[in-house]
Amino acid sequence: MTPVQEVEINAAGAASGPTPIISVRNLHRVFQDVHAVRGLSFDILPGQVVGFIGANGAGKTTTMRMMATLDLPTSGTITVAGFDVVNDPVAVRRKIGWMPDSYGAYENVTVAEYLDFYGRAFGFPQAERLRRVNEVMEFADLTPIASRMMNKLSKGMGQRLCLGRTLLHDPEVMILDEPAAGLDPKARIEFKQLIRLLAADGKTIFISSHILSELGEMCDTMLFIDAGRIVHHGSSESLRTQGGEHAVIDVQITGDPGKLVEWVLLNPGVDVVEVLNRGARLRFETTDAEVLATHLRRMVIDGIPVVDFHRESRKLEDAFVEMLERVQE
Amino acid sequence: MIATEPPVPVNSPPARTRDKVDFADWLSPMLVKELRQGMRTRVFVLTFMLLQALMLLNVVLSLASASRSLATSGNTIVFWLMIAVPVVLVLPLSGLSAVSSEMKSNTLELIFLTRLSATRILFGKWFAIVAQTALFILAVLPYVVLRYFIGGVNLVDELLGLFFLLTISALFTAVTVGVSPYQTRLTRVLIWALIIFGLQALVPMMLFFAMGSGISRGGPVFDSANLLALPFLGASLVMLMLQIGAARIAPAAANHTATKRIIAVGQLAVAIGFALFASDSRAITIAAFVLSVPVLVGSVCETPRSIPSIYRPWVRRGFFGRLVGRFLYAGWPSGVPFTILLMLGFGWLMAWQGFFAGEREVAMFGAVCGAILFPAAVVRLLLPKTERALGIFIGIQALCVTLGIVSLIVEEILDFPFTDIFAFLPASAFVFAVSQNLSGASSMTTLVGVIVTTAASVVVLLVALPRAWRTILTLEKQSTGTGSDTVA
Repeated sequence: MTPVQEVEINAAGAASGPTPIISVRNLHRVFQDVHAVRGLSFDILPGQVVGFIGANGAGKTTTMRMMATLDLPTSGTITVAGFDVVNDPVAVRRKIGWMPDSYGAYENVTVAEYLDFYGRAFGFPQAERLRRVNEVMEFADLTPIASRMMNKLSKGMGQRLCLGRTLLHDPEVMILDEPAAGLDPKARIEFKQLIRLLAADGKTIFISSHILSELGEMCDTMLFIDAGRIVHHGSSESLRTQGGEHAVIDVQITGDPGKLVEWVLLNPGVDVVEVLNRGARLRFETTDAEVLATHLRRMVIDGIPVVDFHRESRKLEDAFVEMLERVQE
Repeated sequence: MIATEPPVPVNSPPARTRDKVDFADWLSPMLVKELRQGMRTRVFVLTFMLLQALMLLNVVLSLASASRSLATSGNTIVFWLMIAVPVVLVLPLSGLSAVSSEMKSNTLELIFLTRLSATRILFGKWFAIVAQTALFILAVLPYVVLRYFIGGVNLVDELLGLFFLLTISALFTAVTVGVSPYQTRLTRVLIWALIIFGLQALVPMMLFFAMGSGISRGGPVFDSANLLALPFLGASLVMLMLQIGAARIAPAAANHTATKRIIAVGQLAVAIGFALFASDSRAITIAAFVLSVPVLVGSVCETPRSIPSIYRPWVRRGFFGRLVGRFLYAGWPSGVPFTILLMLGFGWLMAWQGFFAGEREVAMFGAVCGAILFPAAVVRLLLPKTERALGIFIGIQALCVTLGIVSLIVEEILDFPFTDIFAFLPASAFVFAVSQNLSGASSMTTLVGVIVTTAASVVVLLVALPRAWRTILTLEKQSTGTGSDTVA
């Protein structure tokens, strides 16, 4: 995967640094009385895996559809690989692979015929088409089910088939709208593995999901959208650390945990979250590492028999919810 | 288990003309897919099997009968009915779900991201159904030959009859596939009305074949230049219907309006061509005018598209490209001058052919023109910002036709000249003209009413044009630049 390269967007909306493969500027989309997308601006660099996160109705799918030339912006611009989605939609379509959240299955069409149809539709001659179809089936593990009717596939198989179709014309940019939604854990892991392989191959992947922790593992950077606006653009780690005002530390001691509770009562800035069999979870009203170290040092000096402690990392979901609350305030 | 290697990237553009060894490679991808899919459907398989079984039964029963003649009128009616039902009804009606099913299952958008255009998608779907129909026809050929050998039938007549059925089926399929993307209640009502009227037309057609009217020996319909015009007008109907369907599903940046209007101009050209070289081609002119009506209605109702890329192909071609484009851009601002010009063209042709022999004929033509322009003028005057102009257009038209019919009935009952009151409504006036209820003062009143309303409608539309054209001129300028902002 490409190292994280967050693009700084200045006040004018222009990006500095390497040439982005996707550039969105002041994007708006209005549906009659609904302002679905409100002035989005962001850049994505070649080879990045970008997570696009937001609640239902936040404007994720609308934005992705405009990027995929399936909808028109009310105002603003989107360029993909240097081509404008409104003025050069055909050129953009050659560069992108679009995978919708529900792809729809044909009746009376086998997996191989489905891929063959798209190979023909992309204009590949026979030998080239057969090679690509075989490669894609091999990659997505579709060969064993090549002759199965596609409307009889499980959700996981269907998503793999849809991903295979997306790869047929070897797009530079892949736009995946909630590809893992509705998959069982095994299918989800397999799907994630496929995404990792594609990322390792240098493809730019723009992927949306509700499952933050899942995206956090595979994405270089994440875009958080709420009510049509970008509320955070950065790595999952930067979101976790952003705005956190307390730290939770799990402290293990020998003997009675009551000693630890008594110590907490005598020390301001510390609270007990939960008393455990061999210690307690404590909340410190700071995230500063030096202050935390001072607290822990004092705990040992005060005679608390500490045998182990570790700081709990902040959950991505919690960080996202807190950030949304801050934005709404 | 899934693979550990991603597919080998191939960045070279596909060479479209190399390595084509498979017959299917010469066909449209959509056609290949639709044939694979369509010939596995239950409707196709069951209908095909049933037809074969019925054909066999028909032959066996006839052979077993005392006369051993298959050419009895009852037997012939049954024979043609068995062919006509699947060929003219079952298969064409399957076209109604051709596009709507793809829209429902969300598969159409994925196809748009390939090289297939909306037109190629519609054409592939239409051709696949026609190919299946042709397969049905081929499958009954042995029975037709058997009928000939047993005696009592004219083989050439029978073969021409099959060809005629295939042609009608192809035209009807074009209509069903073309309207397939329109899923509103109104369109569904219109479709079913069309089917009911189509069924009514089917019965006399069956009798026509059954009674052995003798196509090969030349009937009244087939012994003139009209026969030569049928392929042209039929092809234009197919193209038009497929374009109407394609326009509905195509991405907003695709301009199908130009194609539809060019087809309408082609219909006028065919009519002029036959007027020049055939002795009496007035029927062709009327058919061409009727076929162009959907284009004219669309032209005056269409919402302008605020996408600069639509204008670019015309603007790039310089002064003449821009000039032609201003009649072919999507939207009513270009549609109004186009409609008026085409109406003038047909009007001139009809006058030259001596169509306007009396006030009734002039009133009838004027009523059709007025019926197209009047609702469009009402929309521009009262609801200039609406995006549902076509729905309002149909509503006004339906109201005017209803008023016309009611006033005719009331006039008949009360003996009061109600028709004079509504003569200024072109659609009502058309009903009066068609009902042949025009004579003397009534005829003149209708004519004057139609002329006044049509002229007033033209004035209203022309007054509304300059403001709309300002936006289009801005878009023309933007189309030469690189910005992509749509104009709200």
